[in-house]
Order: sequence, then structure tokens, then C-alpha cells
Amino acid sequence: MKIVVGLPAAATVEEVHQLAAAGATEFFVGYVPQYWSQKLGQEFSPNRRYFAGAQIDSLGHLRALCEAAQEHHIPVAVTFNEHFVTPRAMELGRRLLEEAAGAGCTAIIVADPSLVPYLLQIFPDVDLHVSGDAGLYNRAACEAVFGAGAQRVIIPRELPLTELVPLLEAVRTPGREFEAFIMGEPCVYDGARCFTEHGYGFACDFCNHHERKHVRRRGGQTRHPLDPPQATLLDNPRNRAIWGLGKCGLCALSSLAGQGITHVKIPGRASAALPAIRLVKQLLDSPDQSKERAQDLLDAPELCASRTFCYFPEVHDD
Amino acid sequence: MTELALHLCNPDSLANQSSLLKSGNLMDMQWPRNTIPLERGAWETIMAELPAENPPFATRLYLGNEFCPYLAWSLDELQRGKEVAQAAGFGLTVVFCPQWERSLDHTLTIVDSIQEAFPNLEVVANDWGLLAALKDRPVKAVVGRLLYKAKRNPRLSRETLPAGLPESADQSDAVLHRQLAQWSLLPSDAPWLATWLEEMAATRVEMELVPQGLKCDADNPVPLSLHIPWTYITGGGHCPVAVLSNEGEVTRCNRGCRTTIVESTYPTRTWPLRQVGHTVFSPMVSLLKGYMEQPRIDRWVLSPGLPM
Repeated sequence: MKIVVGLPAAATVEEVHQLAAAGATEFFVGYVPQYWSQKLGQEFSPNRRYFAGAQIDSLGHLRALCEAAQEHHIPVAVTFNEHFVTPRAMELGRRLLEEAAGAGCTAIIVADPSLVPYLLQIFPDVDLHVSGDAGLYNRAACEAVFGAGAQRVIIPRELPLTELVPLLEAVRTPGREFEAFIMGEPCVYDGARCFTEHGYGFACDFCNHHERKHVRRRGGQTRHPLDPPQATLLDNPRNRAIWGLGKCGLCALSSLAGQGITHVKIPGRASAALPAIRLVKQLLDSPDQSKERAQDLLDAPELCASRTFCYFPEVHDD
Repeated sequence: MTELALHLCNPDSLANQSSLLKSGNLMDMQWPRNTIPLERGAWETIMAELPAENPPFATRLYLGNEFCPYLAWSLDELQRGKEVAQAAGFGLTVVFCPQWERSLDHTLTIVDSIQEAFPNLEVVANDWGLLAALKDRPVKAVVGRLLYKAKRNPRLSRETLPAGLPESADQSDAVLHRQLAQWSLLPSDAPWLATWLEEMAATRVEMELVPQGLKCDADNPVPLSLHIPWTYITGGGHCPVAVLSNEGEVTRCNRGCRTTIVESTYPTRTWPLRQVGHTVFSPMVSLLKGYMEQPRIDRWVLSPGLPM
């Protein structure tokens, strides 16, 4: 099972070597060159990230990172996974993707399934991965994109294990790759069906405003604030540190491997990925990949018990 | 001539709206006691936009829930709805939320069963898999609102732009103008997606009011349905209503969203947001005038309340 990690805009060649040494076996990047941002801005993104900190903006930087990755035989994918691509964005995007392929990227990640056959005509030697933001929830969706030439399906992070298992039983065949989220980047909304932007870290950021919510009973006057359920959990420093890594699916690692997941993802191109990689790698290398071992590694029992931190909370129901 | 369709998301409406379902006259709407003012106000805004000389008659029913698997209609409920549609002479469109693997076969069984007695059935898919699975069935496959991937961020409007814009958006008005122009394009007009949808035998695209407006290719023959007044914004698995209903623990859905609404605020000048269960909507009916002259919109789909 391989570990896929995002590289942020500030990533250096040295960090690529560090991540490789820690256990990363594949990278993905956002690449928004200046000719794109000058014409359309960072907020009109090719890849669902809407701020400069998530995007590599120079071809030289991208090439250097790819060359560093190649020293470790680590492939690099470029993200082109906006929900939809306009013809103007495709004009710029085609140049962007040609440059990325020339720099050493060997795969393109898309969220619009119609881009699989379209881009394969232009880039026949590049692998196409279909993003979790495409929302491929069932065998009919997976068969449609594999039939169109996709190499890999990234399982949407909202899909519970109880759905993932029958899905993979229905669609896994030799040569097909499946990627699942293992740690990082929680969001209360689902990528495939969230049509807002995020990540500005300023007053426009839609999903950062839950604290402003109130609840009203229909037909009544009750109106009170909605407190986040994890508030007291985060009083504990260890919980807070682990919470900072984002959601966790370590308990499900052995189940994922058994079902044919070939890659696990640590998402978030701006995340501090090293501690997460080390945890995942430690468990992957362990002869015991049980959920008990996973929870020992995490060392945050209150957080685990709360299930609010889990990608696959149903593992605890076993 | 724009067709008017009535979308019932809750099967209880089959009994509650019996007079409307007999007459088709949208003025016969019966408002439940727990209707919130925003729902009624949005509906009345739509009614005011309809031509005064013609009574607003619906000729088509949309039945089902687009967003939440727990609120999916059962086969029995859809059968009852189908009978209502047949009795009143309505066209029928059944609507499904995104299908996870274990629900896909059951949903296709429902589609087959309803279709047997309703040959011109339209089926709205809100995930790529259900859309693909409909391709070889004798139904009219429709691309649902969750596959209409236009941005719905309430900030994307000239009227509601906040004072402090991020990064390059405040560098020049021209950049922002170009962004809004791109965001307003109909996604399914892009050649690659149009080809994909044609291969999926999609006959129609469902869409809704979005802040940046709509520009579409007038030569594309695929008709558009406009859902009003509620625009879907975002959604996910985290259901605050379930949390509230179970004293802090997320357990199984008890349909608390039928009685509880989460009110959200969004910074700066913008529309109100209302979250039902895990799904966030905004009533953007004030944008309707900008859509009146779009020739490809041949149907309005009206929801009397929040579409859940």
C-alpha cells in the first residue's frame, strides 16, 4: 500500500527528501502558474484550492520538486480537479498540464469524469486519477470512468467502510488502483457536493463560520447557538495536537488493504504532513495493524472514543 | 411557454396538498403550521413573478429528495405519488439523491417499477453512477442539481461582494469581472461534458439560481429546468440536527430536520442561509428576473418550502 502526500507551495527539495525518507511514496501538487493567476486570479482555481499557499506557481520550482521525487522513484500527480472546467480555463489548463507533464508529472487528477477521455486524447502517456471530489460512490460510476481510461479512483472521504467494501468487491480488478483518505483535512461538507470555496482564511471563507449558526425549531421560538461537540475534548493538549493532523482512518488500515485499496492519501497541499506520514508508515510497517495498535500509536484515547475524529467511525462497531 | 412543475420532497405532502394536487393551481397551496416566514415569503415572490392573466397551473410533479438518503421516498410512497400524478394528468419526474453502492440496485428497482406504469417517466440522477445506470433503461435521464457544478458561494455577486477581497481579486476589477464571467458559464455546455452527457443519453439538465448569473449556449439543444426559490449551497455527512437530538452523540437519523432548521449567517452583505439536516440552502429568488429571458429554460420547478 502506497502513501500519497500533497506538496504545498512552499515545499522545498529538502522537504521532498524528508517526506520520502519518512515513507511518502507518491506526491501530488497544485500548479497555478502566473499566466493563470494574472488572467483569472487564484480564486478561479484549476484544482479546488483558492489561495496561493496551496499552489506551486513556477515551472522551475515544479521541475525541481519532480526531479527530487524522481531520485526516490516517486511519481508526482498534478491536480486539475475543479468540479467543472470552462473552455477558457481549458485553454490555460492545457498549457499548464503540458508544462507539468514536461516537468515530470506522470498523472493528472480530475473531478469532472468527462475530462478522462478528453485529456487522454491529449495526454495519452499520462495516468488519469479521478478525484474524491467527483463523488464516485457506486460501481456504475467507477465502471464509467475506468471504461473511459482512468487508472485510479480516489474514494470520496465521506463514503463509510460499509459502502466502500461492497463497492470495491464489485469493481476491483487487477490493474485498477483505488485510493482512500487516511489522515488529514477534515471538513463537515462533502467535496463532491460542496459548491463553495474554502481556504481563504479570511471573512469570505464559507466553511469557517459554523460558530455563527443558530438552531430554530419549526413553528416555535427556540433559538440557541450550536456548539461544536468537540470543544471540551480539545482542552487536552494531546488531543489538540492530534486534532491538528486532521481526520484519521488508521483503525481501518488493515480493512482498506484487505479490500484492495492500493494507495492511502494524506490530503491538503498546505498541511504539515510529516507527523501524519510517520504514523501511517509506522502502522503499515507493523506486523500488527489492528485498530487497537492504531489507537496505541495515536495515543489520544478520548479523541478515538469520541469518534468525531474518524474517517471510518464504524470500525468501532465491530 | 414555460412549464411549471411542483416539487414535493416530503411524502406527507401527498396528503397535505390534496387540493393543489387535484387542481394543479399553485394558488391552492396549503401551508403547514410550522412553515417558516422565509419559505412563505420566497414562494410569494415567485407567485408575484408569474403572469397575472394566467392562473399558475403546474402540469408536472417532481417527487423525491435530492440530497439526503435518509429522506428517500420508498417504493410505496412513489407509487402513491405516481397514482396522484396519473389521476391529475401531471407529467412525472422522480428524483434521487446520490446513490452509494448498497442503495443503487434498490433505486434501480424502484425506477423500473414506476416506469412500467408510467412510460414517459423522467428520472433525476444526482450522481454520475445513477446517471450512467439509467442509460440503458426506457426512462428520460435527467442531470440533477448536484451534478450542476456551478459555484453557489453567496459572495459571488456584484451586489454582495465584501469589502475586503482576497489576493488577486482586489488587484484589479478586470480579474474579478473575468472570474464572474467564467463562473456564470453553464458547466454542461463545455464540449467534453456535453459529449459525456450525450453518451449518457441525458435529456435535460436541472439547475438553479446562482449569484453570478447564467450564460449558456443557445444552440445546445438540451433543455434546462430552473429550480426555485431555494438554491443548494453545500452539504455533507455531519448532521447538526442529529447531534442536537441525541444529546451530543451522532446516532441514527431521527428526521429531526423535519422540525428543526439551522440558521446561518455569512459575513458581509449576502442572502440568508438555512441548513436542513446536513444541507445548506439560500433563497435566491431575487435573482429570478435575470433568468427570465433564457430560452433554454423551459421549465420552472417550484418547491413550496426548503427542498428537503
